[in-house]
Amino acid sequence: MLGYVVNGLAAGGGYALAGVGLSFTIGVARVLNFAFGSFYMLGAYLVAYMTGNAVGLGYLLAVFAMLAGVLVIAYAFGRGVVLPVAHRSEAAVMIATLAASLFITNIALQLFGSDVTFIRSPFEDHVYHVGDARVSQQAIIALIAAPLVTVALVAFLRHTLLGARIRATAQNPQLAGATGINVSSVFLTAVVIGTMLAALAGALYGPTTVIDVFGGDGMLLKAFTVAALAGMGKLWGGDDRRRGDGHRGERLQRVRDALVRRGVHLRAAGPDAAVLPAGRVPRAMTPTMTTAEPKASPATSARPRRRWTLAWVVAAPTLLWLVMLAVDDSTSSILQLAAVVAALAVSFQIVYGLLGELSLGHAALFGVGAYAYASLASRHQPIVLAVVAAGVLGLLAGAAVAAVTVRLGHAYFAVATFAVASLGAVAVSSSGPLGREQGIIGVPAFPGLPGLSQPQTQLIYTGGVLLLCLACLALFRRTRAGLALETVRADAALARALGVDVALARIVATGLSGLLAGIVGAVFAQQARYVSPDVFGLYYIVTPLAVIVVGGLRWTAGAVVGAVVVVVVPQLVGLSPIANQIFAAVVLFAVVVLAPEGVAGALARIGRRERALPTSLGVAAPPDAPPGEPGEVVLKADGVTVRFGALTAAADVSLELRAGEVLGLIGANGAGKSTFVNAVSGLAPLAGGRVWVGGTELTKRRAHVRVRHGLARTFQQVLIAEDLTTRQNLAVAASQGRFFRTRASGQAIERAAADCGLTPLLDVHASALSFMDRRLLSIAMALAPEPAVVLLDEATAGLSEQERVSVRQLVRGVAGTRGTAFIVIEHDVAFVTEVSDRMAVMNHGRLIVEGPSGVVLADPEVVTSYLGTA
Amino acid sequence: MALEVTGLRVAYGPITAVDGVSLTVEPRTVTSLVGPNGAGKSSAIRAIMGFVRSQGEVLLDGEPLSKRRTHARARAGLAYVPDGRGVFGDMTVKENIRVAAGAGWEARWEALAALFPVLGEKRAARASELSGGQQQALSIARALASAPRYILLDEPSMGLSPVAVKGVVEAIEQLSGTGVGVLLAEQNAALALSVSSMVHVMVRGEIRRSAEPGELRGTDELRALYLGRAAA
Repeated sequence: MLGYVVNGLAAGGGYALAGVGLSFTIGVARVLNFAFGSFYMLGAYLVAYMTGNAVGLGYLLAVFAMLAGVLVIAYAFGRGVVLPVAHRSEAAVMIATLAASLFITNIALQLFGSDVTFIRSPFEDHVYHVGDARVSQQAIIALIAAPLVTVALVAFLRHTLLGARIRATAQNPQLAGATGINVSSVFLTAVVIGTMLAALAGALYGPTTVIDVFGGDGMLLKAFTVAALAGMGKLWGGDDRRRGDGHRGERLQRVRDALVRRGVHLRAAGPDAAVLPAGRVPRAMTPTMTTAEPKASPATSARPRRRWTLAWVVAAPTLLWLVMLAVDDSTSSILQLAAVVAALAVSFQIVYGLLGELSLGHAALFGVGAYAYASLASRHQPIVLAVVAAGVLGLLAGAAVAAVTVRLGHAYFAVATFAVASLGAVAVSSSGPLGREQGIIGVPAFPGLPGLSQPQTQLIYTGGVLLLCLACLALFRRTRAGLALETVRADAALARALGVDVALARIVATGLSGLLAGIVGAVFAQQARYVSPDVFGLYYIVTPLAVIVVGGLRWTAGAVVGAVVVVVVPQLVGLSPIANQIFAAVVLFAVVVLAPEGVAGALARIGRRERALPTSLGVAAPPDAPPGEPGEVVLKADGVTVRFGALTAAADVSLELRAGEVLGLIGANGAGKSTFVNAVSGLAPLAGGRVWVGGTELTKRRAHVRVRHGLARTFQQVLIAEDLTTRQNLAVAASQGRFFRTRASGQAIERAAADCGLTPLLDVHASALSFMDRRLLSIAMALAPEPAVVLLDEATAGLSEQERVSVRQLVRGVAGTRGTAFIVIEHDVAFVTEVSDRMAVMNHGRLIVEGPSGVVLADPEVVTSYLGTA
Repeated sequence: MALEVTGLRVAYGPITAVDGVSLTVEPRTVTSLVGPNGAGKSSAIRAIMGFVRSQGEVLLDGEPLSKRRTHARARAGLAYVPDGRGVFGDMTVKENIRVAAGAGWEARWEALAALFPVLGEKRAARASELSGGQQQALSIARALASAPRYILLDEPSMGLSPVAVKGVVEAIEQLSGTGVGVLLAEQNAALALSVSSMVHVMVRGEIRRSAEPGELRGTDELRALYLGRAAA
């Protein structure tokens, strides 16, 4: 017994060492390195090679030589793979390192072959007998290595200057830079140290077991588990929960980051520098105000779109038929594989392209479908039943994965789905009825089609499932559910504010994706005539990803283009399977670094330059109505208190708002205005107090529900779904985030657009709009659900004098004609004075004064709070 | 010998946050940027430190900094105290100083502990355990620890109680005594007036008025700029 424990601990030592390395990389460089497992394998293999017959070094010498070699490789990896993408999204880093992992694994396969090998270590030969098990010296070494290295690492971090610098960078990279620390160098050091520890783990643990090229994948998951259990803390990412009146420095950084994310290139331009977004038509910033003559007829009507769709419905199957007739058998089998991969990629696109979550588990859903079909069909069940089962199981698996991971951050989601795929492989490999490692052979194919040969039939089936997936994607993108997903992708906080149930959206997306992946799995199984645990493997995880990234995430037909590049071309050229995968890895990495939007992005950029934008109509001046009596109370806040740790951002704030009123909320920076608004809209947790909208208490309700009770808001940054048109953005808002069209929404869209003068721009992509029009769109999105109360958070930031006049007219107009109540947070005191009926001032989290503007602004406490004391 | 900023321009896409700001900071003096929120004071400071891309020239004692990254600017002699208390929370007070000071930090520590007694008292405490005012003192000391020639302070009084603000004022007054030049961005105009020898009033990205504190104190000028016409 004791022997098993010791051996188990030795294995644990190997994982622990790897875990230490991974946490170091994640903690300092904030990078989730998917190539980590490959370095573990590389360490083991290099030592095996050097202690083997060809070279014949002693074990210890081999380990040192290996470390020297890995140092060079790790440095190249850090500089060449990680640093170029480190400043971009977490997804970019994960994909880049995943590509590197595929690359390294296949190079190793090429060099070392797929046979297992051994490391000759003298320590493995010295064996102790503990109880009834044998424990080698090597196992003991592996066991004590992890704590020793950890102690050494901690000592290094704590007592050396370099260690202090590394810790400082881990805590606050920006401040570290300001202190003179070269943050990129520190990141690189962390990546190198982390990967070297992985290689060392491979070398130390390797002699106790067999080495094979695929040992790395499992190690990555084990290392990640160790690191997570050890308290890596919340991995960066997660939902964007707005933190309210954050420090201004942070806010500006967020604005900048948001703009950079949208492709606004911050080039230092020439003297006449309006810095323009790449590829967009420049629009003068002088808005067209006051007049409201309707200009050209609405940009595009529904009819051209239907014609376009009809063309595809006819052309695509015809094209498929022609291709089938034209190609020979060997090309046909290449195309069949490409079609399956592309179809799988399309199902993956629903989760990654629409929802924006990097799911690495598509192989699992695909595998589930393949095995379901294979086991049912080979047991003589009707084929239709087998296919349906495949789809249903895929759907359930997808929904289950999403439900379990729903509150986790992006990185956790990626790793969790990756783990599910690995789990799937293990599960089927150990299952007798599912054929263990051999899988299931002799899987029946779908019935032949009259007059067609076998390859032709299969091309029709595989091509057909691809067309089915494309059609589903294209149709789904147009539904309210599809649009709701895209808003989640744009910004989770925005989606919640519009009423989208983000958790449900994730489950729906992954479930639908699972349904399609399962069916594709069934088609694959019947085409290949067998299934094996390989369907859960790295090839089916990475290749669809590569296909989508190359083709373009945002393009419905992207998978087809991507599949041609990634699957068809290398096969036609006659690359070996290994070279094939290396090619896929290289292409994937190149695209991620150089052209992240893929072929689709390149085409879109060309297309956009040629189109001129219609101009917005501007906001009409409100009718000259006498100010009416304010109506009944529509918003009541009582004792609202918000704490972030030790900081009380809002303290006991109470106020009431009546229908048709405009309340200006002002205060010095850091006073708590945004925090209060976040608390009312449900995006910041209440430490105390209650909130009512209409008569309904919303204190404990989730954020996305609040819009359905009449509460809408905008954000300090302009938050809109960039990749959707104006109309689509408004559609999500008008349906209050629901997954289906509501009865009143069509009219609500038109009305909100008309209020803000955006009618001519309804079918224009939001990313092409000018800054002012985007600002107006975000306000229109708050008006579209026809709320009782609208919270406007710094709606005039960045606007010119003229544009502020428009916003003022808009607010007064809507308040007067529709009785909507507004809370307007502003720093521009002059603007607020003119737009509001009364004002409230916050300072240090408290509401200090409330009343008509003249009175409030003359109050000495208010003046002091703004101008300060010394 | 001065920190010279000429024609500084910062744009975030279509928003121009800083539009042609020029100023000079002499050693041993405190220069302030005051103005209402959104005026661009923080953006200007962050651009000088190199956190955001900008146009225009930044010369530190004649050395051009415009093409250098943040850490290179820090090594050239520029130090930065961010808004919201820039300290390394999980490191002790002593370690915060050490990280900034580099080699020879022990000597620097003694000098700093003399200037900021709170550092000596709390040397082994984690930075996150200090009060807001203490953290701000630590942040300023950390900036001094790298022996800079100029220090940029971004809204040091924000979020602090009036008592802590007094501490900040004292700390700033100590700074010019050490020979560095200070550029201060402050929303709290009264504080800025009390410590500076030169004040630049920024509104919407531009400097509207440059004056010595005496000229602005007690007038309605600032009140009008901050609170709009209605208040003046």
